[in-house]
Amino acid sequence: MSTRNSFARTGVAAFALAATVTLAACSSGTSDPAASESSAPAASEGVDLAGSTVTMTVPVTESGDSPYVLISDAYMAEFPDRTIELQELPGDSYAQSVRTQLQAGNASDIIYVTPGGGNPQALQPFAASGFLAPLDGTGAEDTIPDSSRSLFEVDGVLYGQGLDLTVVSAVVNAGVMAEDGVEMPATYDEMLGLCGDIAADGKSLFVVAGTAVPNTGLTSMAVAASRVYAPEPDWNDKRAAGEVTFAESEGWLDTLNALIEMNDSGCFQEGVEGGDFGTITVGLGQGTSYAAFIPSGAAFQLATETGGTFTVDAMPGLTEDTTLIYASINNALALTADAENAEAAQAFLDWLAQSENLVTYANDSGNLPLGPITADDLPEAYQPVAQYIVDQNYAVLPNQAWTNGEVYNALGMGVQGLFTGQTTPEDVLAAMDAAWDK
Amino acid sequence: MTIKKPTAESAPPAAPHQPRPAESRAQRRFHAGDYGSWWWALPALAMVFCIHYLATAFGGYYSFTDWNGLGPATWVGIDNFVAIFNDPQMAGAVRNTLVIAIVFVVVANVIGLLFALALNRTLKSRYLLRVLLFAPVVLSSLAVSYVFRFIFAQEGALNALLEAVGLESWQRTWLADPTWAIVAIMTVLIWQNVGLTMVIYLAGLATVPQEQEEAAAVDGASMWQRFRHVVMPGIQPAVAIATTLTLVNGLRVFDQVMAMTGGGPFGATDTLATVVYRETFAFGRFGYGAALSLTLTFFVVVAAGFQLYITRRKH
Repeated sequence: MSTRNSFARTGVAAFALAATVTLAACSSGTSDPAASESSAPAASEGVDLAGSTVTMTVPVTESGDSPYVLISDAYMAEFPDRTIELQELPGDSYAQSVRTQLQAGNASDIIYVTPGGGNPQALQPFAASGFLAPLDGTGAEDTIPDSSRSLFEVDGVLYGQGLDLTVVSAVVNAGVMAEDGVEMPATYDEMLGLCGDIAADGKSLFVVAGTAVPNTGLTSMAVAASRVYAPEPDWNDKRAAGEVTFAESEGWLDTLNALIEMNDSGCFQEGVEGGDFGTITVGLGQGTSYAAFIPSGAAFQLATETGGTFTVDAMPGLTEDTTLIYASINNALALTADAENAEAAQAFLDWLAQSENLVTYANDSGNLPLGPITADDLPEAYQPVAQYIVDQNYAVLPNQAWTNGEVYNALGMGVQGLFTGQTTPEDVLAAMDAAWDK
Repeated sequence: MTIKKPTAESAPPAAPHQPRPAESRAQRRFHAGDYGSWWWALPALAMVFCIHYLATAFGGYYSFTDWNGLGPATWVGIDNFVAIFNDPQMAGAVRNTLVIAIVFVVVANVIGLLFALALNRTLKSRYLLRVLLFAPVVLSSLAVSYVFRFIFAQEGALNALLEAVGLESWQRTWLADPTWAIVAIMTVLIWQNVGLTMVIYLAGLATVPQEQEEAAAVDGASMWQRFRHVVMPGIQPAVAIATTLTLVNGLRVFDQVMAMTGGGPFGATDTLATVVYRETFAFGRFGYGAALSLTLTFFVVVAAGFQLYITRRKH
C-alpha cells in the first residue's frame, strides 16, 4: 500500500470515525437488545402503498456505504413500487437542521434520533414538544428492551424504534498487536506495567483524541466501568435520586486519578492532550498505537478502510471479575407527527423492525443486531467480548441517563484539563454535578 | 489634471430671470425629486428592518426565556443574565475575548502601519508586495485556520522546523498548551488581517501631501518628527477606521478558535462567541445563548463607541 493511499484512506476513515464517535458518544438511548424473532403486526396493513414515497432524514456517512442507503435499497428491492427518499445531513449540524425543519413544519416523514434527552438530536425533547408520532403497538415495540424503554418514552408513550446495538469499549488493532507479540492485559495493574514497556518501544497501548470531548468522555467512562458501574450498576439512578454525587463518589474520583496515572505511565500517545480523531485513525491504522475507546462500528470501518484486523476488547478492570463493557442502542428512528406519508413511513418502520432486516442493517453498520444473539452469530471482531454479549453482562452507556449533554461535556473537557494540568479530579467532578443540575 | 474652481470673477453672469415653460401637473410631480426619493427605498428598508432589526429584537426577547429551540418559550426574566454572571467559565471567556481583541488591535495595526509606510512610495516592488500581503485577507478564515492547525499540530510543520534547527526543547503541542494555544490563535488572526490594516493605512497615507513632508524635512525635522507631526495627523481617519474594525473583529472572533482549538484546552481559548455557539447549538439552550449574544453585542457596541470617541477626540 502506497503512503499516498494510506493517507487518503486514513483521512477518509478519520472523518468516518469522527462522525461515528460524535454521534455515538452524544447519544442518549440505551441498553441491551431485545428484539423478538417476529415483528409486531404492521400498523399499515391493508393499505395500498403502491407508488408511495417516504422521506427520511439521517446523518451522512462520511466513508463507506451508508447503512441507511443500503437498508433503503433493500426495502425498495423488496417493494419496487415504493420509494424511500433519503436526506443525508452533516453530522455536526444534523440536530440543528432537524430542529429547524420540525419547527418549520417541513421535516421528513422519518428522522434519525438518539434515545433519551441528553443531546440536541435526542427524541424526548422532540416528542415532548409534539413533533413525533407515537409508535405504541407497532414493530418498534420489539426493538426496545424493557430496561431501555424509559429512554424511548415520554409520559409512557413510545416514540422511537431501535436500529442496532453499539458496543462501547476498546477497539484494538489485533493484527499489529499480534505481530508485536503484545496481548491485551487482564487487569489494570498488569496494564500499567505493559504501558511502560510499550512506550519504551515508541508506541502506546491507547490513542486518545484529547481535544475531542466525545473521545475523552468515552475513555473516562470505559475506565469508570469497573470502578463505578460494576460495583454499583444503579449508580445513575442513585444520582438522579440525589443519593450520591460525582464529587462524593470514590469510584469516579478513582477513575479520574487512574486516567492521570495511565498518562504518567505512558499508556497514551505522546501529546495526548492535543490528539484529535485523525490522531486515532492514524495511530490505529499505522499501528503506532494498539487500541482506542471508540464505538464498535468503527472497528468495522477501520478494517474496511485500512485492510487491517480490528477487534473489540474490554478495558482491563481493577480485577478480572469487575471488568465490564458497555453496550447500548445508540441509533434510532422516529416518525414525525406531521408526516405527509405516515402510513407508508410506518410500513417501512415495521418492515425494518423484522429481525432479519435488523440483522441486515447491523451488518451494514458494523454494530450488532438487536435481539438474542449467540457466540456463533457474532462477527469475528467481537469474539474477545463474546461472553459479555452472550451473557448480557454489560452496562448501558452511562451518559445516556444523565440529565443533559453538559454533564458529559464537563467530563470530557475535564479530562483534557487533567492531561494539561489545568484542573484537578475534584474540580472536574464538581463541575459535573453543577452541570447535572442545569 | 487640475480642475480650476470657478470664482466669483470668472463665473459667467447669471442669466436674467425667465418664466419656466408651462408643465403639466404630472410633470411637476415627477420633477419634485424630494417626493420619490424616500419611498423608493421602502422595500429595501422593510427588508433591512425585518432581517436585521426585527430578528435581533426577537433574539432579545428569547434572551429572557428558557427556549430550547422547540415549542413554546417560557419567560424567565433576567435569570439567564444572572446565570451568565455567576458562571465561573464565563469569566475566562470574557478575559480571553478581551485579551485577543486588545492584542489583535495593537499588533495588527502597528504591523499594518509599518508595512504601509514601507510600501507607500519608494520601493520598486511595492505593488507586488502589497498584493502578497493582502492575499490572506481574501482567503476563508476557516480554511486558513485549518491549515495552521496542521502547522501547529504535534507532528506538524512548526515542530518539524524546530527539530530541524536543533530546538527540540521548544517543541510542544501548541494547540493543547494552555499558554500557547491562545498565542497561536492570535498569530493566525493577525497574520490574516495585517493586509487589511495595511490597505487602510495606505489609503490614509495617500491623503498626506508629499510637499508637507518635504517641507518638514527641509526644515530639519527628523524621520520620527515627520511621522509624528505630519503623517499621523493626516492619517487619523484611517487610524479610526482600522482600529475600530480590528476591535470589532477581535471581540467577535469565532472561526479561528473553533477550527483550531474548539475553545480548549479546558476553556483556555474560549471566547464569548464560542460559548454562544456551544450553549445554543450543542446544548440546545437557545434562551441562554440569546442572552449571551446580547451580552456580546453590548460588549462590542460599548468598545466600538469608546474607540470612536477616543479617535475623534484626537482628531
